[in-house]
Amino acid sequence: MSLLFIVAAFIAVAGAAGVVLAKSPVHSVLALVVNFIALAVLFLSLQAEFMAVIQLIIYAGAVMVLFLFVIALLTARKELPTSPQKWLKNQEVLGAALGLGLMAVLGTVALAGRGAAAEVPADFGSVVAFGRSLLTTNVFVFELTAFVLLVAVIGVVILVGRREA
Amino acid sequence: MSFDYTLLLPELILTALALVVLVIDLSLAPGKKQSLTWITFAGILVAMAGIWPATQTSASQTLSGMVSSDGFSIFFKVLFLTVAALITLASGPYLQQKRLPVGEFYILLLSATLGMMFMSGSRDLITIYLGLELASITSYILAGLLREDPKSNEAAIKYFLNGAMASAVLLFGLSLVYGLTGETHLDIIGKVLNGDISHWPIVGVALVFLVAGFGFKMAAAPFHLWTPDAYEGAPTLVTAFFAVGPKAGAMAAVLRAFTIGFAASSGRWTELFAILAVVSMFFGNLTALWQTNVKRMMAYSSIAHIGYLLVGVTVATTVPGVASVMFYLLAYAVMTLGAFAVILAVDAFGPGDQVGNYAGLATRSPLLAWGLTLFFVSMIGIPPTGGFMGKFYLFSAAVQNGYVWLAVVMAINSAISVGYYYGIVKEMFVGKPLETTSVKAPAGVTAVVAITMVVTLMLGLYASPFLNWATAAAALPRFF
Repeated sequence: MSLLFIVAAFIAVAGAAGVVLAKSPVHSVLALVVNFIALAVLFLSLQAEFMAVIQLIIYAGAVMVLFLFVIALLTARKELPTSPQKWLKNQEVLGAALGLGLMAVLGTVALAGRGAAAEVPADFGSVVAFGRSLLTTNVFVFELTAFVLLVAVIGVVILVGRREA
Repeated sequence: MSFDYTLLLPELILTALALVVLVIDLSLAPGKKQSLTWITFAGILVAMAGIWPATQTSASQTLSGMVSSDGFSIFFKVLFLTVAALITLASGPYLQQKRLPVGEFYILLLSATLGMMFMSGSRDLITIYLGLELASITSYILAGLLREDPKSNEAAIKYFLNGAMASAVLLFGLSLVYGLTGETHLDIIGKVLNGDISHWPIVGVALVFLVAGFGFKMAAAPFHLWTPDAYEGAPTLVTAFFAVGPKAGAMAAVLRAFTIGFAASSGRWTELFAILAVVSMFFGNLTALWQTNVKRMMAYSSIAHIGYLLVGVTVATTVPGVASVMFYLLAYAVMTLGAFAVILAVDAFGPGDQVGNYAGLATRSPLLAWGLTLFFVSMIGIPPTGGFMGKFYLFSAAVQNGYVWLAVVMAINSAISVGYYYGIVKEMFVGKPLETTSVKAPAGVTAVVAITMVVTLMLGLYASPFLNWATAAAALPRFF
């Protein structure tokens, strides 16, 4: 395990914690950007260049800018949103306990199953391998994804578009 | 590589139909879109005819083996297209009355059906997931079609947030499987996850994630929390679709994925499904007893029915197990659509969707009242109905495979369910009506009630051809 991996992993966890803990939504988004960049570094350390680049351009770049715009448009008011009424006492404690429990289980089985993982091909995750797979074996999946996106666009138009009487 | 397009003919016709409806919708003036109903209806029938060529070829897999068109997927394609056709038949006047966007409704309905067809036909985790997302995203939008109604908004938001969460859980499970096997194709996963590796704890964890993810989609307790609100808030026509389509799609994906990909670990996932079955049956039936809104009651009733179906999934390692699930899905789809057609008529063209609104329906609209009574009788599982035969096959499949206790739980729950169905029937036949005029149900809705009544009785009296069909289809996709 390289030093790069450890550092990037800690930054990613810190970013994720920042998203949850930040009071202001803008700070949450900025923490998420930090998390995404750290994830991109993790992908790079695993020789998955394509994933790293996509992570940076699409997620840390485009999607997060969109997020900031949405927040700027929706929360023009200065005051921070008040936390909603709690129906369940000690939500944070319960949530943290369950989350740590899940982490322990996943960590244990992952360590126990070490070595069981499938053999990774040499060019796995490279742009060439990804592109070839996308446009040959998985070209149908690619087309189907386009249709899913079309439906999502139609949905946006229906739900927030102007409607004739 | 070559693609065999005849195997995908129904899917291609459905895609083309959705795009044609999209374009024609733009050219029609608002308020003059009735023709779209008949275009969609005719198109669905053409798609159903498009299944025929696939039954004539010997090939059954296409697109690098990702999608198969075997008897199993043909059974489900017929089921999904029938559901879409019946919903379309009932839709015209309802959409007009509720001022819903007509063209968009049909596009979403067709896309959801397409997604469900891919869920049943896929032999690859990627296409199963994409089909599931296509069906889910359209469902979220359909739930929120009544934009001015806060309850519809609530339904859409709750369905969306829970559904997105479920997708994340499912994807986490799928990624564990991919990491273990390096493959997304179910046949190869089944071969790799054989022998020693199937006992690794990480396979168990992956199975838990997959069961939870699919459990959300089919609304099995304890993953059902979104169901009552989504069913109550969504437009009634959409609720009718929710109660049948996405559930059947998820069930088809579960049957295919677990029996092929995780055959060697069947001891583990059958236990998980047995637990879900018991919790769903008891929770659904006991909570339904307290409901005063009929759509909410049907939501809990559908959770209970998923519980019955999961009894069959528990013994899905055998052909009778899979066949009984498929037969019950058929009976469930028909009786649920029929019941919702009546609920739609009483809700949109009559008094409303509370139990009290059904008072004296037998004197006001005898066909609707007798229809609903028949569907409820079928849901309880009393002969001579499809629901009885379905429960009988599930029951015997469970008993044959040593799950006598599960069969007993199922019988107890059928008895509990009499309580809430009887409440409405009593109201219809004994209650005093506030008005005496008949409920003005449109011809399409009445036709759906009549068709589903006939088919429900047919499934009860002439069950064997349907069961033989399901058994033949269930025997195909297995490997052990």
